Formats: sequence, structure tokens, C-alpha cells
Amino acid sequence: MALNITFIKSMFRKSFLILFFGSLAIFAERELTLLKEDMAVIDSRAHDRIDASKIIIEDESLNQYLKQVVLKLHNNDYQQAENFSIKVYSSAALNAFSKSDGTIYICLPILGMIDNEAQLAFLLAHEMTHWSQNHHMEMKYELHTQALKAAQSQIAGSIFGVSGAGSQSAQIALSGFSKKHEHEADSIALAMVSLSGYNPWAAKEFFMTMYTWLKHKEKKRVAKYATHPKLMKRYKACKNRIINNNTDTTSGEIGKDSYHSVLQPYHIKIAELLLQSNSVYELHAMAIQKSNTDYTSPKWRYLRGKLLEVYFAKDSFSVARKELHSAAHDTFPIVQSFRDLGWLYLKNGKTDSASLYFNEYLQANQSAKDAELIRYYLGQM
Amino acid sequence: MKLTLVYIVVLLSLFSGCVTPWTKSTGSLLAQKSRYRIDLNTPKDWYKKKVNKTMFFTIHGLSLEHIVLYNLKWTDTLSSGFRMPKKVLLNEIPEIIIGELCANAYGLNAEITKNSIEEINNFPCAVTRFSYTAPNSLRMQGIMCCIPFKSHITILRYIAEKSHYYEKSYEDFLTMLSTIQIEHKKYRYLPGIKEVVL
Repeated sequence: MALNITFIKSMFRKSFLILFFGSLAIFAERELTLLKEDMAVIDSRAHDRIDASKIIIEDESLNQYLKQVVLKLHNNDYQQAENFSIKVYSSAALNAFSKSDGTIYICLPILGMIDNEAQLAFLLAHEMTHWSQNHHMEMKYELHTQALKAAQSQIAGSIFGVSGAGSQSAQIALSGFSKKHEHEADSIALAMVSLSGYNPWAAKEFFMTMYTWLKHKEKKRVAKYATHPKLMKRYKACKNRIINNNTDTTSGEIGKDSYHSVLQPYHIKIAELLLQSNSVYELHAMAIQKSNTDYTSPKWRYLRGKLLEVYFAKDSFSVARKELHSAAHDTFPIVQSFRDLGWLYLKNGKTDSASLYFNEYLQANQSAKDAELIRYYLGQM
Repeated sequence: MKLTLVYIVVLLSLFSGCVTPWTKSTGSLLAQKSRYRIDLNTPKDWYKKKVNKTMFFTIHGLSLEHIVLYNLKWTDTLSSGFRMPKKVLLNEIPEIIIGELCANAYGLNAEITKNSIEEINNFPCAVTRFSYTAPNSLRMQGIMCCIPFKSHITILRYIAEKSHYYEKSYEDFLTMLSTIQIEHKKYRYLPGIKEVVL
């Protein structure tokens, strides 16, 4: 009788364990099926959201210019170039990606970062390679395989009390797979750029500029989980490829003037986007990059001054003051510059100058939204 | 049999451990570092929950309306990789925080409708009214109050769906705000603000 009870107990325990781990396996399998079936839908939904959110920039001259670059990359083969359509959208991200139907999405700030047509050609060629080499489908297949492996290791991990082991190893594997794609896309894009008559050294410059803009994020990136290789690695790989091909630094077209004639009107919009989204370092990098050029419109000087005034006042008082002064005393002054000069002086303890500029701002714009706030500060002086 | 029961208890505790319950918002909260006191009794029927040192309050659900109470250290790095500037004006703090929220894809088309400095418990605090479109496409309206303390900024933010829920619970937020008691020594005077004489 005693034996029977022990037997029943052990059977009960075993069946309990089987039920428990079995249910885990069912959950994992269910997620996997969902993942497989819904992948395409989720993919298209993410892009549809961008399309529906009215942030796509509809500018005929910009679209025409981008199409021209795509056509040139295909050596004027219209049929090949027809596979791609390009959409530029307003977002503060520094990103570009392609969809499996050949649509390339570009965030506007990346066009502010790029300095010439050859760099743009490299970016487009990179995204086109993802499409032509079928990286989307390969990645989906790999995602499916890794999800299966992750589910299995998750079950094994839970038996041995190691949680999250499956998903971690899957993430690392996916990261490696994605990086391989990026290197491949870089390599093919470089060849495309050279063959279509652009200067391949522009690609190297592209990575260096991107590194300058994203230095703060690059340092924090955990390489083993990242989908893209480190920018400096890509820069070095790109440089080595060019050197190995014995390409002259002056060979090929750069296309700086044509690029700036189309993109310059967007620089202020880009700066505003970056300021709104608190992408301070990116905006700071842009301000430095563009200050070396002949970019002197009052709106731009105001944005640059405001940026320095709000975020870098400690080190940049004189530069911010100079920029805001120029914006305030231009033939077409930016009224907000007076207010920002007031704030700049106030922060630095110069209340007399602050009060002077606050009063000028209120005189110029009595019904301003922030008039009450300015009056509060004036009352405190 | 006992062992099996132990298995079940352990298993159940594992599942229940994943969820922190919502509780009725009662009592008062005394912040140790900044020595301010806030009464949580006042907004009746609100529920509270604490997640990672952030206190959430809601009646109908977080996506429809909520109040958040949390601290941001002056030295904390924001998700943009940036820190709160050392020389900052009181009215600039909410602008930076709202920018930070939008940078985190918290909302689209954020707009600051009014930025002012108002007195709470006799101390000047930045009060900002703003609106944005949430990822679920609801237009949200919010009011944020930032109190500067010596070691950190205390942020009390009320956000609700604009057309229906905002007005419904706005008074509750104001009542909650009015119960804040700030200790004089812990308040940080930012440029342009005169010291309060009590």
C-alpha cells in the first residue's frame, strides 16, 4: 500500500512537470506560428504607418533629383531604376531603410548630414543592395529559425533555471547575421558608386560624418546585439576596399553644388526637427558642419544660437550671443532672438542686458504666447 | 503530497510575482530627499501603482488619463545622451523634458500651448500645458509641473485624452497639486528667480 502511494506521488510529480514544460512548449510554438504568418503583415503595417502619418515630403524637385541619382546608379537603365521608389519623410531619426517591394524610406535629417551627391548615391546604393540581394527574405527566414531555437533553449533553460538564455543567444545570432548583410551591402554599394562614375572616397567620408553626428550613441551601443556594425569598423572596411582597388582620390564625380542646390532649403526644417526632438548632439554637429559653409540665413543663425543658448551656454556664451545678435539685427530679424538673448544674459547673471532685450521682445511682439512669462522675469529683476 | 503542494505554491507565486497590483490612492507621500509632502487622498477613486521609483495614478486606464510623479536628477543622462544643462532657466526644464518624451516616440506633433511660472506652496514652479498625438492616434492634452530641488527636479504630470477625459479629471490634478508642501531649505533657486521670503 505504502509502495503504491509513493508510486502515485512520483507519477503525479512527473505528470505535473510534463504538463508544465509542455505548456511552455505550446506557448512557444504558438508564438512561432504567429511570428511566421504575421511577419509580412507586421512589416507592411510599420511602413503603412509612415505613409499614413502624413509625414512623407511631397516635393517634385526633390523626388526628381533622387530618381536621377537612382537612374545614374543603374547606368541610365530605366527598366532597372523603375524597381525603386524613394520616399523622404520628416522624422528626427538619422535613418534610411528599404521595404521588400523596393521602396526606400529616408529620414530627412540624414539628407542634412550628407554633403554631396556621391554620398547620397552610396546611401541609395546600399539600400538598393538590401533589396537586390534579398536580405529581407533571408532575415525573415533567419528570424524564424532563431525563434525556433530560442523557444527550444528557453524550455531547456527553464529546466536548468537559466531564464532568457534562448532569446539572448537568438539576438546575438540575428545581430551577427544582420551585420553580415550590412557589410555585403556596403561592399556592393561601393562597387556600384564607382562603376556609375561617382568618387568612391565619398563613402568613406559618409561614415566619418555619421560617426561625428552619432558619436554619443555609438559609445553606448552594445555591439553584440546591434543590427549594424560599428561605424568606425565600416569606415575602415570601406577605406581598405578603396585602397585595395587603387582608386585615385580625385577620380569620379562628387556633385556638391547640385546636391546643395536641391537640399539647402531643407536645412532649416531639419534643424527644427532635431531641436524639437531634443536631438541636441546631432543638431550641434550639424551647426558645426554648416557653419563652415556659407550658411548665414537669420533663421539658421537663430536656431544655432538657441541651441547653444539652451544646451551649451557654459562654454558657448560668446558664440551663442554672436549668432543671436546676427539673427536679431538682420534686415529680416527673427523676433524670438531678442527673447533668447534676454534668457542668455539672464543665465549669465547680466540682468540689465536681459531686461533690455526682454523689453525689446515685448515691444516687437506684444501678443506673444510667452509674454506673460517674460513679464514674470521682468518683475523679478 | 506536501511536496506537490509546495510545487504549486512556488508556481503560483512565480506568476503572481510578475504583477504589481494597483491599489486605491490613499494616505500621503513624504519624499525623503526633497522633503516635500503630497496628499494622495484627495483625488477620490484614483488608483496608484509604483514602478521603478515612478508613481502612476489613474481612474480609467493609463492610455486615457494618468498622473505621473517622479524625480529627475540634475545629473541624469537623458535618452538623447544629453544631461540637463547646469545653467538652465526654470521655464526651459519642461521644454527639455517634453522634447525628451517626443524623442522616445512617446508622441507625435507635440505642441507647447502655454509655458508659465506659477507659485505652488509659495515657491515658483514651471507649469507647462501641452498636447501631442499618442501612438494609438488619440490626441492627448497634458499639464506638467516641474519643481526644482537641490539634488533633482520633481515632476508631476497629468495627461488625458483631449476631447473627453482631460476636463473630467483636471480638477483632481489641481487638488493634488495644491497639497504639495515644499521645505524651504531644499528648493533650488534658478537664474532670474528671487528668493522667497517666508
